[in-house]
Amino acid sequence: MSRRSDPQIAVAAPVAPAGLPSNEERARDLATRAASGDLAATQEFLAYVWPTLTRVAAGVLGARHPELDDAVQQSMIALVRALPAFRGECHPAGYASRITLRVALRVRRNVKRDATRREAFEQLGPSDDGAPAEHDHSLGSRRRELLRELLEDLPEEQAEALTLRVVMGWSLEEVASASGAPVNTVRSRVRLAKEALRARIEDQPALAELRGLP
Amino acid sequence: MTIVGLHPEELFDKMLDGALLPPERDRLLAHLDSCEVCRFEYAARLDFQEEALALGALNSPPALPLRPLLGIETPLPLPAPRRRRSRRLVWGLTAAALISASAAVASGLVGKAPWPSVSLLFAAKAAPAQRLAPAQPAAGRVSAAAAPVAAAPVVAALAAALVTEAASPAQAHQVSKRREANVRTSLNVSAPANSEQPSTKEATASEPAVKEPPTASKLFGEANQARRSGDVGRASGLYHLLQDQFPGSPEAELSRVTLALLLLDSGDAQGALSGFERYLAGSSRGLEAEALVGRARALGRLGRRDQEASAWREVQRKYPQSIYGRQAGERLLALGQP
Repeated sequence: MSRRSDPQIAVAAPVAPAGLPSNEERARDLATRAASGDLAATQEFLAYVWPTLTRVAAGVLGARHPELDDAVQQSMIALVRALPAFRGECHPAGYASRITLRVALRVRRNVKRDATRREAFEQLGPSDDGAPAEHDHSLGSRRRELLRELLEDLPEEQAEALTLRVVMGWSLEEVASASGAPVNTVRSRVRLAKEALRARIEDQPALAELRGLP
Repeated sequence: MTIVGLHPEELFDKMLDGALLPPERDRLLAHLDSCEVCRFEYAARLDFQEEALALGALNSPPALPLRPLLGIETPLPLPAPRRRRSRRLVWGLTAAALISASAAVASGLVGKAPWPSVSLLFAAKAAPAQRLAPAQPAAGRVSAAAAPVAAAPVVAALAAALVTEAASPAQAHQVSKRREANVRTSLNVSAPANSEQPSTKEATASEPAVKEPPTASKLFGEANQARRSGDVGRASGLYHLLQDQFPGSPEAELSRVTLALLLLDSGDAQGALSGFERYLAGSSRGLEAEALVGRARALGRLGRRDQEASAWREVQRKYPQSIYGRQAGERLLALGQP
C-alpha cells in the first residue's frame, strides 16, 4: 500500500525537521579543546556534528551515492584541520555544515568529471566503484537532483544558505546562526538563490511537473 | 501575498514550528498558489526530509503540515541505502593512528597531554563518544545510532589519527590558550569551562517560567523549540502550562492541536484523542479540520474501528471537497466502510 493511500500517514503532523543541534555552548568548548589536540574532545565533537554532516553530505550527493561515506569522512578530516581557524562566531555545527557542503560539492564535481571520462570507456563494462548508484527517476528524486545541480552553480554563500534552508530545513535564524551572518543577509542570499532557482525552472518547461502542485 | 518576489520566509519558519495561525496559513497557501519557486521549495524540503529519513538521519517521521492541503504526494520510503563502508579510509586512518601512537611511545610523548595513546584509541572505541547525548537525548532529533555508518569507531579512528597528526605540542598549547581566551571572552565565561555544569545561559533557558513572567507567545515559542529538539516531555509540559495560564489566547488554542499531534506521533494515542476532543469541544474552529482528522487517526491507532469510521465520515461530511475529505474516503474504503 502506498503511503499516500493511508491517511494515517498522509495526514501529516506538524513535526518540524531537525534544526541546529542544541547544546551549542558545550560544542564550542569541545571545538576549542579539539583544536588544541584534545583527543577525547575531538571524538566527542565529531560525534556531535556527525549526524549533521551526514545530512548535509547526503543532501548534496544523495543518500545512495557511493561516495557518501567517504565524503562524510573527508568532511570530518577537513573540519578537524579547520578547527584552529574557528573563531566561535557561528554555531559549531553550522561551521561543520559549511565545510561539509564544500567537500560534498567537490566530491560531486569530481564524480561527474570521472563519469564523463568513463563514458569514453563504456565498452569496458560497467564499474560499480565510484559510479553513481542506481538511478531513481521519481518526482522527488528529480527535484532533489535539480536542486543539487543548482547548488553547484550558485555562489558559495547562496549555495550555503539554500542548502541549510531547504536540505536541512533550518529557519532563517538558524541559518544565520550557522553561517555567522545577519538574518537579513541570509534572507537576501535565500532570495537570490530562489531567483536562480526560478530561472532554472523557467528555462526548462519540462520541469513543470516538479513544481510541487499536481 | 501575490508579489512572488517577496517570499514569506517567516511563515515557512512558523509553519515548521507549528506556530502558524489560521490566517497566516491562508496567506502562505495563497503565496504558494502563486509562487512556483516556493512551491518547488516546499516540495523539495519534503523530498530531502524523506531522503534523510530513509538514510536514518532522522529518528521520527518528518512532515510539513501543509502537505495534504497542497496535495503533494508522499513519496514511498526509499529502499535502505547500499552500505559500502569505506574500509580503505577507516583502516588507513586507524593504521596511521596506531603507527603515530607507536612513534609517540617510542619518543616518550605518550602521557603528555594532549597527545593520544593506543589505549585511548581503544578506550574510545569501547565507549562511543556520545557524551553530549545524555544531556541532549535527541539533539536536533538526529540520531547518530540510527545513521548508516557505525559512527563511534569511525569517529574514534578519525579523531585519533587527526589529533596525532596535529601541530607540535607548543603550537597546540598556544592555539589552545588563545582560543580558550577568545571563546570565554565571547561567552562571558570567566572561570575555566566545566563540562559537567550548564552555563548560566543554559540554566536560564531551562527555567523560563521562573526567571521572568512568561507570555503566551514566549511559552508557545519555547514549547515549539522543545518539540523541535525532540524533548517531548518538556514540550508537553510547556504546552500544558500555556493552556493553564493563557486559556483564551490564540496560542493556547493552537497548542491544543499541536500538543495532540505531538502525543499522537510519540505513541500516546489516548492522550492525543483527549486533546483533539477538548479542542473540538471548544469554540475555536480554525483548526477543526486538522482536529477531526487527528481524532480519527487517534481512534485508528487505538483500534476502535467503528468509532474511527464514524470520525472519518464526519470529516467527509464537513469537508467533502478538501484533501481531508478525499483521504477520509480512502480510509473508509480501506476499513471496508465506503
